[in-house]
Amino acid sequence: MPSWLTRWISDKTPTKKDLLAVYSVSVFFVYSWTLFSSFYRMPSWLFAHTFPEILSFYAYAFTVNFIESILLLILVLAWDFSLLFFLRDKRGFQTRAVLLAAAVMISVIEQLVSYGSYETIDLFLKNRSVWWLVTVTAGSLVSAIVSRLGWVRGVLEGFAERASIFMYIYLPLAALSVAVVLYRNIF
Amino acid sequence: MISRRDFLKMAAAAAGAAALPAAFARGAESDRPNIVIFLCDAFSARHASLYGYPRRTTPFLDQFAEKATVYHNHYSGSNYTTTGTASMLTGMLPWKHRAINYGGLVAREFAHDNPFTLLGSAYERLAFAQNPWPERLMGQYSGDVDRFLSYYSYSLLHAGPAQNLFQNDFAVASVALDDFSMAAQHGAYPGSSIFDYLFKSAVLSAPDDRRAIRYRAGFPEIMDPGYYVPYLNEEVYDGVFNEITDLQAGGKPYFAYFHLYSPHFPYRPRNDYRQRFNGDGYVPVVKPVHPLAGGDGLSQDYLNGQHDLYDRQISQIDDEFGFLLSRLESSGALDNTYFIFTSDHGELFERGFVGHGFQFLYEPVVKIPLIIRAPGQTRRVDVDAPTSNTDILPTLLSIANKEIPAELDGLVLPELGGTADPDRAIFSMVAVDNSSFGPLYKAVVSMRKGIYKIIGYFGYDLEDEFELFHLDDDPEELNSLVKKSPDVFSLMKDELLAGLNESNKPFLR
Repeated sequence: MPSWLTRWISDKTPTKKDLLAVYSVSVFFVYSWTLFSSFYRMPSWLFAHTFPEILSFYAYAFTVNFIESILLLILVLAWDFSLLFFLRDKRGFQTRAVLLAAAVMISVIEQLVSYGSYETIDLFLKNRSVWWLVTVTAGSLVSAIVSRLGWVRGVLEGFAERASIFMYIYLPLAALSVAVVLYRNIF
Repeated sequence: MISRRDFLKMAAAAAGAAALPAAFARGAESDRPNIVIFLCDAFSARHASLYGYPRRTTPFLDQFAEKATVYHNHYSGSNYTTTGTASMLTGMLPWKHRAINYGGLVAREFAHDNPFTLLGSAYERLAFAQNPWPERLMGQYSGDVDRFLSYYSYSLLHAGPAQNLFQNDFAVASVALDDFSMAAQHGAYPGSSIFDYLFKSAVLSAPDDRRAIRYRAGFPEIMDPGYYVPYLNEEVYDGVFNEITDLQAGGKPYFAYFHLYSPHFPYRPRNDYRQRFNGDGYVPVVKPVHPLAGGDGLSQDYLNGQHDLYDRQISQIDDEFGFLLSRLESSGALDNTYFIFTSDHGELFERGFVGHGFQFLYEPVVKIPLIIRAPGQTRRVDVDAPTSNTDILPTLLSIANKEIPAELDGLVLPELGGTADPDRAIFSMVAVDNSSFGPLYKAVVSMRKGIYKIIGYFGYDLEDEFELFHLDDDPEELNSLVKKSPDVFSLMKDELLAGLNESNKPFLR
């Protein structure tokens, strides 16, 4: 591979530290949403299900979350790489990725919540493309612009760095969850 | 004039019938009869002409009944799917089996009391519940089901649900994935964000096809628990025929449980049924709004509109049932088969309320059809004694010469080995607001005994905790006799409370 190409790729590729930070943020968003929504189910679960069953629900949910968090990371990376050259700046990768991950999650959750009822199925289907057009456009512009502001970069990179604690909490939980799901289905 | 669809169906039936005799001959070698439970979800006996409904909604069911045993006072253990179905499958009342919450499960110690496990491997066992809640109940013993069809089967969606991956842990996976991770459709926050979004997009985009022209108001849909899964009754009933045909061809005695979704809400009859009963002069009895219906309740116009749609939906499935039956009869599939037509609960269009569940236990929502055709039965038998859907399991076991576990509440049905008891107490209950692990403090319990029926509302802030009706004089349950017949009320109340207290004992220790 020619050296200029290697250098070009290297310039465009985030470092391992960057990737971990962004993955931490993905993990934080995905798992936190699940925990948040599970609190709404807890009263009915406690009425109808045993404690081991409830723990098993979490095991399934965290297994799903694990796959989702990787999907979100891939999506964010793909989005970031697809940004036009003039919008990109390697130094702002973490900031952009955090904003893009937030944009994806906010858009997804807002659509699920806004069009959550049977009566809004048609609206959901009709408005999907508009939602994503706005999300992609706004997300790209905001992340490209904001990532050039030093103080914002500082705040968001700080957030990404601190979010790594969630990775260290949730990933072992995910591993345990996968083991539980496998155990329940094999034995 | 014969339609293209009917022509194709008849051609398929003829071809199927021609291919089957050899297989049926093999099936006939066994002494054990086959058993088919054919359950239509939310089918109220009060809306079937077979049971005296003024509209001619069920001519084919009437025809089926001509060579069958018709139970005229058959009650579900509850007023909605989970609890009602669990009562039928376990042969126990809800206060014992404890599947009392929406989408709940049978208590672990009683989960083995079900037809699949108790009939055993001598039978080829098939389970197909179009409703995910009974599917989940059967998921508690999926290892004892030889062919376990997902609720998506024969629907317009070809994607299998995720829990198909988790057959060994079906019940728990079903709650985790169907009820939680991917369940945005009911206004609840889904546990999963990205997967739920992708699933929702795929599921809701799928059903647009040319068949929609025959369903101007939309396809009928399975609505619980997560997503609305569209289906066509024509295709589902074809699927039932194919499954029975396959079981027959297997040559082994079989037990098949079909739990079909229609006429469950949303009522979406095909176009050619949408005008049926228009202008026939039938007007439902107007009843006062129940305090638990919420405020002023739904308007009478809305109730009547839904009532008509429901009748049309029943009319369509009666036609489908008639066609299925004719195919099964002509193929010989019923020759050595007990064929049981029933439901899990009824439906209500009165007192400001539409549907089922909630705190109502009036006749339309707990009285369900039960028609059983025995092999070779040539005449109609009518049973007026009250029966419960907890009687189904002991009856199946009796038919199959299997031992009936002592813990079952149900009895073998009259005319199928049991004796008629006109004074037997028949209980129904709903306790969705109560923990399944504790005594029933918040519940509605009804008891029919003889010609009387008492309903007790426990834990609800109501002026009248009890209602008492004379079902012969007041079949619409409009005039409570609590004050007018204090002696009867006292006897009925004592027996109801005795039953409730007895069931609560294990939880009070």
